[in-house]
Amino acid sequence: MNLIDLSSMAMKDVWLIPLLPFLAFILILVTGVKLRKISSYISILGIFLAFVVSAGVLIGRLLSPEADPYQIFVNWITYKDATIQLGLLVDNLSAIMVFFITLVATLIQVYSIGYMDHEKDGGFARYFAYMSLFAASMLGLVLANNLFSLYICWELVGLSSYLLIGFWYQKKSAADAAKKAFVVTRFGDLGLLIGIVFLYFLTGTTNFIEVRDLLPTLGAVNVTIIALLIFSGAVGKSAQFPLHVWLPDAMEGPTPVSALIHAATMVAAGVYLVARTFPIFEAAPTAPIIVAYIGAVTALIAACMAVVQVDIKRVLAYSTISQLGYMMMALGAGAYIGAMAVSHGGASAGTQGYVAGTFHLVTHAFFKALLFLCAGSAIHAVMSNDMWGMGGLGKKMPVTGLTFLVGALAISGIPPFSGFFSKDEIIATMTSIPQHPILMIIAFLVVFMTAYYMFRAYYLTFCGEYRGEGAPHENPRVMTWPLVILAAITVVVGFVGMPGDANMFGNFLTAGGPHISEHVVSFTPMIISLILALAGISTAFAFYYKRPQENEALLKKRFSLLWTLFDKKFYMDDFWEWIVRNILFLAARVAEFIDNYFIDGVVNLTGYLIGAAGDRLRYEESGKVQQYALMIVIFLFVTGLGLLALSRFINIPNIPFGG
Amino acid sequence: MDFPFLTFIIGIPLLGLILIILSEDDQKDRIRTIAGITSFITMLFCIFMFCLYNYDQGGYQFVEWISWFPAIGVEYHLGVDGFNAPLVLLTGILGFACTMVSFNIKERVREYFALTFAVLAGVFGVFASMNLFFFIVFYELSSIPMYFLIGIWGSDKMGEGKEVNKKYAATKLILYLQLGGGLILLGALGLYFLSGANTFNMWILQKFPIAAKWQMIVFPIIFIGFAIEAGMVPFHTWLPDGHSAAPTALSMILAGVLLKMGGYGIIRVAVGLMPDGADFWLKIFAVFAIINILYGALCAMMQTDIKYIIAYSSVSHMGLVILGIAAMTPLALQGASFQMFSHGIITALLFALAGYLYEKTHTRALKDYGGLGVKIPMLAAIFVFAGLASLGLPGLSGFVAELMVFLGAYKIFPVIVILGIFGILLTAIYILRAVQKIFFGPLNEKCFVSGDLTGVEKAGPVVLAFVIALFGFFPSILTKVTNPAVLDLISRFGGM
Repeated sequence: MNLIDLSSMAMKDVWLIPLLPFLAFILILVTGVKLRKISSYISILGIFLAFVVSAGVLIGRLLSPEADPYQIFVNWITYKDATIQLGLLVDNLSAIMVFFITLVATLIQVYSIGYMDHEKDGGFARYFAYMSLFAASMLGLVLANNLFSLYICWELVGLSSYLLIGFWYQKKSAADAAKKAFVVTRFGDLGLLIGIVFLYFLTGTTNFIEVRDLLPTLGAVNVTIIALLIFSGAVGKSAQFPLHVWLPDAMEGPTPVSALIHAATMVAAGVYLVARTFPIFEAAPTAPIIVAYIGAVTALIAACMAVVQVDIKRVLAYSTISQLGYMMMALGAGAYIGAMAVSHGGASAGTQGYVAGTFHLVTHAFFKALLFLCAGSAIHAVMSNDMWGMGGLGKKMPVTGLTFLVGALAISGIPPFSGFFSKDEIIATMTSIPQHPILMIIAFLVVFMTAYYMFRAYYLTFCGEYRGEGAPHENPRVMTWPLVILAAITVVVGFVGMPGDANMFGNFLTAGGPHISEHVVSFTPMIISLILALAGISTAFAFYYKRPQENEALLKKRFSLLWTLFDKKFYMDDFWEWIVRNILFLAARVAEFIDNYFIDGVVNLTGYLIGAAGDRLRYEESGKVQQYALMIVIFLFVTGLGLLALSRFINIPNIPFGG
Repeated sequence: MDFPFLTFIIGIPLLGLILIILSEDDQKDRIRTIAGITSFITMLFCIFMFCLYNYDQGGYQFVEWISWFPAIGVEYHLGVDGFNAPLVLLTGILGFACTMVSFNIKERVREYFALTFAVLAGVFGVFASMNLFFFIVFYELSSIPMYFLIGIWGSDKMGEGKEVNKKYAATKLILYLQLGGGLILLGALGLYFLSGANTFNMWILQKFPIAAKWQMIVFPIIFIGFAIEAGMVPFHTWLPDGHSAAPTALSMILAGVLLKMGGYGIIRVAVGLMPDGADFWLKIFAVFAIINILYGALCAMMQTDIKYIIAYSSVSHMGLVILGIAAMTPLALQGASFQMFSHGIITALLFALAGYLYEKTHTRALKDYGGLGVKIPMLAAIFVFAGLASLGLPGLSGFVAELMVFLGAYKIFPVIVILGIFGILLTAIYILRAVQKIFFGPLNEKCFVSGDLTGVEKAGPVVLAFVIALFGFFPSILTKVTNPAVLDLISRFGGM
């Protein structure tokens, strides 16, 4: 058998990709929680086999990138002549997605064996069961061929996220964070669901390919509404402003969970959703620019908040939000360019932003997973998240320190690490829409800030003197090997997305679609962003390499107003809390008041009146037969008269008693 | 005539009832064994009946038709179609589950099981009857024993807020149910006389509906009669008080099937026999549906007694049933039908678990719980599962119903559907709030817990959880049975 046969076999068995982790989930659930190590092996085997199939699928697509997308589906709910389908779609985008998700997930699960070592047997197995459930639903999400299937998996990843954030459910903060994450993302999901229902109402289908073909018939207003509703789902899931508040709290989960779900894969699902429904955004005249600005605002404010964090995981969490905003910005700008071109009668031209956003999604997944796992490694060693209790770990934990440095350089956009290439593409997209200079300025600003806060974290954690307690040392190989592998990927993966026509990633992603090779490689923005990144690193070096405490105190004093604003998260959490308390729970209190005092008041009053009437009437039951007889006569008389009167107006049917 | 499945399904619980009455008071194990076996056999019969229903053929099947009192048009007339077959199945499953959870009852076991079986037989009778006379007789048979079940084995409200004792709750429940029954009887008499056919036979009444102007008057009477049973706002306050005061098994029956008698009655009697009246009135009642969804959810957010939360969630979820019926599109009606089945199982499971929680901790007030997940992991896991099903998690049955109702109703009531979708956020809030206060966070040392679910105790919840997942993954098991009946009803609306 040759490669082509193997890959086409993988393509036919694409349903195995989500099914294998799901079987692992069921198996762990059934075998119970007593099998400690076995449960992790089952889980890793499931995800690894899914990885093998995914690799086959990706190879298949690489061999024939212009082939039609492959779809399989079953009819899930049938009624009259229409159906709701569950189905999978393999095209170049989903092939890339499943490949990198299974790869990252496999590495993180291996790492988890070491990280979750302290857990009791039950917790250990439970952890791997949830991880498998997550992997299954995430893979289903990216493979879905219609919005119903996507929505189902979308909610299921939300569930896994809920379960894993609240993994240590005895901690109140963890349980609270889990609830917050679920409710906030579900708030965004409402919009998505309304959008799906609306789209289905208009077109009778939610299949991505069919919808794309039907778009011109829908009218610009409808498409815009649908695009914005879909985007609201993405805002919740990808933690975009103003629904970003759940993600930092989600760091209460175990660190590998943060790496996999809250950095590399699930939070990117919103970005993926926009990429998947990109034609809808391109067909909507005003939606894309809203997407771009939301992304830009998110990227900027999250970067600001990252600057002042003391918890290493929270630095990374805000960084994730910021980078996701970056991706959204690219997709929005791309769709904007596309929409402009479409409205001028041209073909789809949004490819650059589309490719840039998607590419950054992939590279970010690797280096952010790497950064989180390194942070986890450090946390595992010092048993604290506080960066002020770390320091000097580079010497004690050389592998962790070096790999973290690789990740930090990548996210800062230093060549040749992968972040450089993907970030550069995004900036190039921004520079191609001079109508919106603010987007470009924010894009540059965020480059500087990213480099600054990442190296602040690096210097605080790995350089200088150790400020914590105990004697931390490097973790076992089961934890360091995944770091090394991810670091290696981070170094090389950027080269598949070289700028210009040699962009293998871009060519593959847009193969078969309307392609225009208008990639003008412009070096100016590239150089500016590189300078900004280096400036960020230098600034961080100046403040945090030596005597960080004194310098930070100085900064705090100097920029006390900004510092407070960033530290208070722009008061967004307080804003939402106010809304929930003063609108939602006020409504609930009013409803309860009506229920208890108004409705039940009437009910009880009725009951009381009837009771009182009974009390009064019982004196009529005197036992005097004459009185009863009089009552009967009066009653019959009145009834007879009444019936007579009535029969003049209405024809009363014969009552059949007695024939 | 075929094998008389339906007579057996009604008759076996009655037989069990007689055997239980004939037992001695102190033969508790014997009584429990009889109850367990009869309910299990009944469930098997229901499952067989459901599986044997020929959905390609559609229409009424397993029909039994014996003339009984021809002078006034009363016949012993049973049959099932796509609307009531799932509900008979639901009752069968719940009958078994609530017998299993009742094994812990210690006092007056004989009377307890006898009354419970009377309720069950009555419910089966309501669902299977094709004659309004028997429909109402069975309705009374099922509702009267509830008064005693709550009054004797019930419990008072716990937690903060307004105080409610079981006597008040039982009285309120029975009065409301009798009010509903009275309206239904009034409406039935209206149909009897106004049709000119002088019959209680629903098939005939369906073929020869009463004049449109009478439908305008009779429809709302019957609709409200059933809507009281279905817990429609503002006639719903018996529901939280009654459901919460009832002993566990009765809570399961009340939420699981009694509410569905309301929904089923609306479909079968109100809409089925008076399409013209429905055409006019349903648009108005759609507004009540959305009030139910949002108002019930908002009230649930404020409750401090776990059973009240579940009860108000029923108010909210029954709004979806009314919405689905009001929209009268094939998908929405199928969604309503699905929701009745799904909500029946989910809520019964929640009540079963709340019952165990109460037995193990002797409290139902949220503030007395905290961090119990460590002590009772099995109970916690199933409770979380049921809660997720209730908040409409995909893969479980509640989601399918919601999706079908929303998709189907959108083209008739777009604004109401959008508001309804907001209801699912509120559901998430109150469910997660409850789950978190009971099972998560640091362990409340003051809360005494006597242990996790034992082997027998697991039986009921596990069966129900299995059904939730089964119908969530494979909704077509149910929809293909419902489909012909739905299309038939819609076609009588002029193929909307």
